[in-house]
Amino acid sequence: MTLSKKHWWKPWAFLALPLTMYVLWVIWPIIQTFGTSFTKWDGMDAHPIWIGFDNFTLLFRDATFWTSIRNNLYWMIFFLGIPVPCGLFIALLFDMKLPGGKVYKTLFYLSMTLSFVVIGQIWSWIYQPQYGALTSFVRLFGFNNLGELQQWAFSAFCFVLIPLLAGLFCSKVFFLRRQASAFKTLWVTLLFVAVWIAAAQWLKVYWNPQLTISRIAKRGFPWINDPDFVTFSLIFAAIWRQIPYVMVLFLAGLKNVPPELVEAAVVDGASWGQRFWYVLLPMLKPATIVAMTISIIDSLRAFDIVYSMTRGGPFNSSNVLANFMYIESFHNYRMGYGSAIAVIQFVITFGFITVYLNNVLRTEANAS
Amino acid sequence: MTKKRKALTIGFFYITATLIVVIWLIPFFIATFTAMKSMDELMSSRYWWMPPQKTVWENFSSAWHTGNMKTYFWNTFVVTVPSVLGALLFSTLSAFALSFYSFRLSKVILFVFIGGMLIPFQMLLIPVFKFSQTIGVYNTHLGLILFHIAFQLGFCTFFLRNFMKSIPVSLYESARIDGAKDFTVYRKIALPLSVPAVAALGILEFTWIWNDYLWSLILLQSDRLKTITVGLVSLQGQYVSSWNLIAAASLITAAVPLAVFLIFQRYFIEGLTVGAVKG
Repeated sequence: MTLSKKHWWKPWAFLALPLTMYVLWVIWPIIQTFGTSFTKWDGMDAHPIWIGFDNFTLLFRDATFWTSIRNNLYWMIFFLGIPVPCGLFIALLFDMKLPGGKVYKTLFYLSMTLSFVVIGQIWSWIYQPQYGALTSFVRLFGFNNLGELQQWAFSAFCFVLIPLLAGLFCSKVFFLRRQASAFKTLWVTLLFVAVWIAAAQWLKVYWNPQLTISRIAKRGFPWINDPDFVTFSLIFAAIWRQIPYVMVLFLAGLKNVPPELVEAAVVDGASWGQRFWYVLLPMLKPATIVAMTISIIDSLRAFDIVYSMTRGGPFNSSNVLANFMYIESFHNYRMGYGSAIAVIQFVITFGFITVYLNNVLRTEANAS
Repeated sequence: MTKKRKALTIGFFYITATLIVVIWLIPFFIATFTAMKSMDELMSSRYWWMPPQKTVWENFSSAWHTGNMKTYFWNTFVVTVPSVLGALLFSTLSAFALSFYSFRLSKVILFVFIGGMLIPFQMLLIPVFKFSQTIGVYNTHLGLILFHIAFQLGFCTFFLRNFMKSIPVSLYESARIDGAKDFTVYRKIALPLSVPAVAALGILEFTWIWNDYLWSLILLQSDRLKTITVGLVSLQGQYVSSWNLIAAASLITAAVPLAVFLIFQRYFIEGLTVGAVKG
């Protein structure tokens, strides 16, 4: 309801308590962190020393920072590349509404309710080097150590996955629609460049005698103690929880697809693939945007699982920005430096938060 | 659709769904098996994922008593319940203000609430840590509760405002014609009508706050105050090689959110889909 001039204060009377709390514990701290990032401060001293942008210049020269950025990028790529398509596929599967489907859904959801700390514990004995389940599983396929697995995975990546994705994308762009746009051309070019780089890398790594020796030197299966594997091991444990969550988002999106639309497509003789591409996927666009932005935001604030499983080790190889910030601020008492890391993390996340807010704004506009 | 194709589709569903669910539950099975093995069996076995040959329940009781999980468990209740209740109560106030009145800043405030819940927690760590020390609630459950209430207000307000927007305006108007004050409208109309949404929200919030790790790590120091997730990690530090004990402790930690989910599943999923975001 609209308010007359005399009653302007009424909403503020309701907002007073919650908004004060929110400002004190959330909004004001955000502003403070920006301030602290320009200072040198051990957290105890009453007067932090103003040092301008020094923390940031120091940060950009810090190798650990770049490792964290790289690992956060891995988290982001994997959180987009695996949970989103898998969540969509499983949502479509469970949307078939057959008897007993609910039980399956419930069981599938269970991992979503767990704390990341518990997930870290459970997976750390799946990753146990000698007797863990993953080691036993991989041995089944004849791998004797992680080096062999790494070599195989890398070849598979270069020669199967990337060409497959490129092929899929090209066929979609060129043969289904036949409308070339600058944007699509750019994408196809980028994919070809990616294939080329991957193949070149493969050639370089596969025939580099020094690297091959270091691969052979890898003994056993130290999943989370090996710098090359630790980040991916952590990401897969997190994905175990993320897929059911993304699936919930897609199931909600599927509820908004009118069944008449799908039936009409069936009557018109559309195949399963055509129904998926031209009916379901466009209808699921809002759900996909939400799932993707949430996945990215989650991947950028990954902390619990990293800190409780490895604390960023071995040799910082699994560090991510969130963990790096915590260690610098609360183990090394470099609060100014830690704040600078937090600010970088915030700046990266901010773009995706805007996408999400924009989405909310659009649903808002549609509703009213 | 022909009969044959239908049978094929149904077969595809059951086979794929069973496969996915079984793969998904493997980590749970492994955790349960490990928790039920004795130390001797664990050390002599070559495959940690095998079911126990002799089931042992002592791990649970020793995690509970010797591992001090009982203290952590009750601490978590003491933190979680007031946090959930407080966040729900305060957010009904702010959600009512943002849905009932239309005033110039209402959109801005809503966006501040939504934006705040999505930011990286690292932006808050140091100032919240310092602020708690300044007002003297560092290393107390109260400090943790106050923070949880404040932070969860973002999601709760967003969630409840969306729900309250769907309450027909005519209901409010008829009450106002009868001469009801604004606070009466909130208490007698908005609040009772929002009970289902508040319940769904409460269940989500309960599991999130129960599962919280970072804030207990930051705001609590004494071992006797620790919540269950922090307790579990410190237990792991103490009993590094007692995998069976840690497994039992992990299951104790997971038991409450799992039970809450299984009992209130419908609310839980509805809550997630309405808000479509998590904290």
